[in-house]
Amino acid sequence: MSELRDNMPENFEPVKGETGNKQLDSLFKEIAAEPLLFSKEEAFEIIGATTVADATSTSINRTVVVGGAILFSALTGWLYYQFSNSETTQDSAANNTVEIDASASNTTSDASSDKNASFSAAQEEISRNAENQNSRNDNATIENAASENSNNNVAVENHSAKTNESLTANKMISGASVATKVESNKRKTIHLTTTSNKKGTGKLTLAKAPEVKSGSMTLKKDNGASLLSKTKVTQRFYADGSATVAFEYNKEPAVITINPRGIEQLTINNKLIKSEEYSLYEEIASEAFRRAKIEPLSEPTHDAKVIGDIPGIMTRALVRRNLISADEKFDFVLTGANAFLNGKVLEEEQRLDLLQVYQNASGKPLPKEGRFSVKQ
Amino acid sequence: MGSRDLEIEAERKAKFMSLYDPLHERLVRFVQTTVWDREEAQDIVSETILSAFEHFDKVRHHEAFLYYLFTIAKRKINRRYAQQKRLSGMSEEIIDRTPDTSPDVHRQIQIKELRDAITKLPDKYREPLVLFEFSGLSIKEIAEITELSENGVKSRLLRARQQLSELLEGTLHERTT
Repeated sequence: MSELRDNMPENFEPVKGETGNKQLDSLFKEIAAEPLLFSKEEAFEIIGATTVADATSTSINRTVVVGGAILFSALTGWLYYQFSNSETTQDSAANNTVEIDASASNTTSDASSDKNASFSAAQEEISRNAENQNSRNDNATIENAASENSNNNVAVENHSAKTNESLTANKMISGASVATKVESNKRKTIHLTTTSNKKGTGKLTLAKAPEVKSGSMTLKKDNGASLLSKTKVTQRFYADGSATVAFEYNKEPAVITINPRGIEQLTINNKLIKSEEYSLYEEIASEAFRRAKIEPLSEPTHDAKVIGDIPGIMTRALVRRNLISADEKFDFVLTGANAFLNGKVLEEEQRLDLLQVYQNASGKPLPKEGRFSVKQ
Repeated sequence: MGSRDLEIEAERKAKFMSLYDPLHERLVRFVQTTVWDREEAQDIVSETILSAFEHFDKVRHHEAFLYYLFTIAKRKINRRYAQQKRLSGMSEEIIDRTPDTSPDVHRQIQIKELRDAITKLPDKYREPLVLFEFSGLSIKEIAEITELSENGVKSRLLRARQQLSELLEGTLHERTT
């Protein structure tokens, strides 16, 4: 820097667009005159689409962790009241948020998706009630409530109840404009409870591929044209390598959370999609991976909660890195400190890279004294 | 949510937009000139706005909003660059997907070369250059954002221009002769 100062002319006062090189100046002017890629109206839309629930979600999370169970039972009663009473008030949107958060605190790894589904159904029910009421009374206040009800969603990650209190809150607001707000204060690595994954010894079994249930949903595809609207895409990235991408899909808001293992969660129009149906939404998944610049380890629509074929993934990783050829026999060992391929120590950079692949594939780091090996 | 809460939120949004409004074009120009991929640039702008909106209550002085907004954008761009570096072939894709606005083919090539050259500049030179030449920020404002002295910004600007001229020297000359 001192050298630069020495070379800098005295009293140098730069002027915009006057570099001393006419060609450069002319090109600068042309670039500076290019149309803006993002209009002020779009910025207003983004801010207009956010809700107060975003600002309050952090405090709600804390409340949920401490007194979730009590809140849950209380809100179950409230829900019952809502179902039995067709009157919907302006406050119902905010109440819904609390209600779904309460479900998060009570989530167990197996039951979470069912609970989400039931709460999602409850949301829809409330929304319908509000709309019905609206149509009967022609009441503008209730119309607003219905609108908020139908577009707010707080979804819950599937996780082990013992170790994690992670909570992902996705809120899709406004049918026309899509914006995502994600709170990830307590997000941690997802711990899978598959027995073959617990010890990290490398003796990993292939997880059973999920069966696709036919006829359980309708995919409205028109003449093979894309149903994705890419004009309103928002993304959030997390330290654990996952990302949430929001699209408009078939004119409905779609939010997908992905990591290199596949899909963590997918909601369309606030409805949680079952993992068995992920393959029907390949367009969303592929686009999400492309936009988030995350490389899927197996298939884009793979359920991230299901352990993949780790030896297979590691083998493909070695092949892609030209460390072995596709049909070559090899012996690969990965430990916390070293990586050996056919008895030779790999470079530190390669070890770290392969360790990352392993962590992405298994969803957790190599245990301290752990070791992964694959042989062919 | 009560009507009072809605009112407070509406006020908050209005306050944010009044601060953001005069900086919109500067921010978008900064992002779209630094990140040549259209989709990437749009994503970064929208993420920057969202992040800024989430925490802008913490900005005590309105004068600091410019620094606050551009610092968020800078971080988002740097994180995106770091992600891209992990994937091979990204830079080629970015250059190829840049919009062609000039009808003159030679001019288009020159603009692409200039963009490529700006991308190749080290961050410490590229940032002041883009902020000054395309976002129209003053030396003082850039000094605040980059946490440099005003002289430091000037010297980096000078160096950026020099490097850019050097990088483009051969190509621009060849095209015009």
